[in-house]
Amino acid sequence: MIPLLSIRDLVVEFDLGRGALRAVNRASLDVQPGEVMAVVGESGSGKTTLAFSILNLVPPPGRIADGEILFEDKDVLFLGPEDLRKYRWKEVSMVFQAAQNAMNPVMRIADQMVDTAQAHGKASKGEVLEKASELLGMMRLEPSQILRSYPHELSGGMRQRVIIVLSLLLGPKMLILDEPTTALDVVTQAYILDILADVREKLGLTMMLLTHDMSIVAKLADRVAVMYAGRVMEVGKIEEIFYDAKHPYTVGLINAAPSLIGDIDDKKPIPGSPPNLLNPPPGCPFHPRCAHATPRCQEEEPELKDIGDGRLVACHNWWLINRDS
Amino acid sequence: MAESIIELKDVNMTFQRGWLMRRAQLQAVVKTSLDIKEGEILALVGESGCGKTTVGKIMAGLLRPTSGEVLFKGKDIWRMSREEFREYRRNAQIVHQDSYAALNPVRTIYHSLSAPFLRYHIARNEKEARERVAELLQFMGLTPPEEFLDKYPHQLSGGQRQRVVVARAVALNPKLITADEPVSMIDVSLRLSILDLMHRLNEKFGIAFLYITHDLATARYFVKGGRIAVMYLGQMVETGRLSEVLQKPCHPYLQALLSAVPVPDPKKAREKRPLPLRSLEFPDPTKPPSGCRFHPRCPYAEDICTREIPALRSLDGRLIACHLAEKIPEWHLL
Repeated sequence: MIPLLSIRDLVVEFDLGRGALRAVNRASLDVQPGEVMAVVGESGSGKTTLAFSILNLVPPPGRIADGEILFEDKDVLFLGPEDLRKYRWKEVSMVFQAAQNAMNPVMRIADQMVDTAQAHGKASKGEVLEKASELLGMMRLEPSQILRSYPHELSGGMRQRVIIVLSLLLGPKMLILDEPTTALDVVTQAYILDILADVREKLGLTMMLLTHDMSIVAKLADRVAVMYAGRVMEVGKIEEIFYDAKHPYTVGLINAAPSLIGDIDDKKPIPGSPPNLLNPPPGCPFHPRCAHATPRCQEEEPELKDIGDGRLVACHNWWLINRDS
Repeated sequence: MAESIIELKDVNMTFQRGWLMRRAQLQAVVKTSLDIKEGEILALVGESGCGKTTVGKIMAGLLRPTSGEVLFKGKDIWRMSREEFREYRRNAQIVHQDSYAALNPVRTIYHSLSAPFLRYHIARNEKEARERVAELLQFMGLTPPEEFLDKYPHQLSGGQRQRVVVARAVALNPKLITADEPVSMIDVSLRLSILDLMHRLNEKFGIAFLYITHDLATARYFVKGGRIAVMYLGQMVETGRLSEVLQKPCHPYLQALLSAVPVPDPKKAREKRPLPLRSLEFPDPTKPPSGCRFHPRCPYAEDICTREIPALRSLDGRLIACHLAEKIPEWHLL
């Protein structure tokens, strides 16, 4: 299959004066049309920076230092301003973290819809509102009532759904969601995850889901990419990641996710702390916290390798870990 | 049975909101009773706006309730003498969610941690205080302590900073620590290590914990053999042994809440289970529903639920506030 999005050896650096911080370090990732790809990582893992790069939207002092991003046949990093404007929102759109609090407080939802659509295309007001109504219905909201409202009149869960509608307004092929439910209550979160699963099926949408929460990944994703210290550590299908993880960090993350079901005493934290990216450890960035680390891990950085069937792992000793579990 | 270290009796807390014509009263906590025994761990669970943080502040003596009693070792803390209150304060400590906001950014770790020792004359001079602080850091897993003593909060990672905050809470050997969402801002790989640390403090020093959270899964991990109390819109709806309550939740709200919690297991997570709720809308807390505050969303509500506020009553070894508790169908986790 030809991937919809292909990220190759991407390097993003932030120049902080006292040295360059590599937020994304030679990361590669393919997203297939129609799939939900979850990018999992803790704070500082580089997942949000990776997503910003896809839109060529890395804020200064950050810059894309190396690598390429292909969306269909477009080389995203070489698009001119006009092409880039069309590419953003029409091809790929993004729901930013905490975006539900970023709406214009003195504009009715209807006007915000029209404003957004017209900033990126030439649609008429009527067309935009018709499309918005259809999408709002899909989000299980009452279109006429929502369109009349101001943001403060809506609950957090409603606002988040309105933001998702805004991002789908121009019919993008791919939607990036950055921590879409973190600010919401448990009940609202469950409801929105259900709706997202529905909408994705109805629209045949390709999604990239950025999160730190393995439970949300379990609910929504088809495939998972695990990031750590700016690198992609493992990529696999959802069942492979949860039931047969190969990378020690992935195993650690799953063991560190408490659950309401299963044996809670098996859960344990990953020892140590995430690395300081201004002064990263040599070799594999995870080696100081890894129970399987060998002298080789301290010197040589493992490449992300295909271990068969599209399964990618960046670990010198992955086959040992498999034997352990 | 161990003695209660702290006890809330019929506590009400009302906040005034708005001004003049738009003045509204918000009853954040309604007629709530709750006690924590010596050395016990209790999780106080609910969604945002349910009043759990207000209960925590009342227990820690940071808020004076509008009515009702707060008893520390049987004595009302708001009728205590200065000396007694000071003693209570020493014994009831707090750990907040945001470790960055909890520490003074221009003070070193030593400076922050030595303050309680010097204030309560546990250390007579700087040298002694330094030894005490080093000992404390060692126990908190911040080793070697010399590496942390003279650092500033921004030089530590989130997990390390929260360990410092816990260290400060433990410094005076308290009987009770109120921990309000202590791990929700911590990286997922480290959350359990902070909970493990607090659990060790409970085992080793018999410190009781009030663990306030919206996250039932971490409550299950931390509380182990302890109790859970679930709140909804200012009212306690169910309390009991955590293992029993989670296995067979009785209150319809708790059943709904549990069915909404995502599980980190793709096969289980994708089984379609409708939320047992009539409405997703959280009511306006300044205009709470009559009778049982959950009735507009409850799939089992009957006439009586709209009229009478259900009292917390004993059933099957737990306390539950539901008129229909005996009639609610049994419900199990996946």
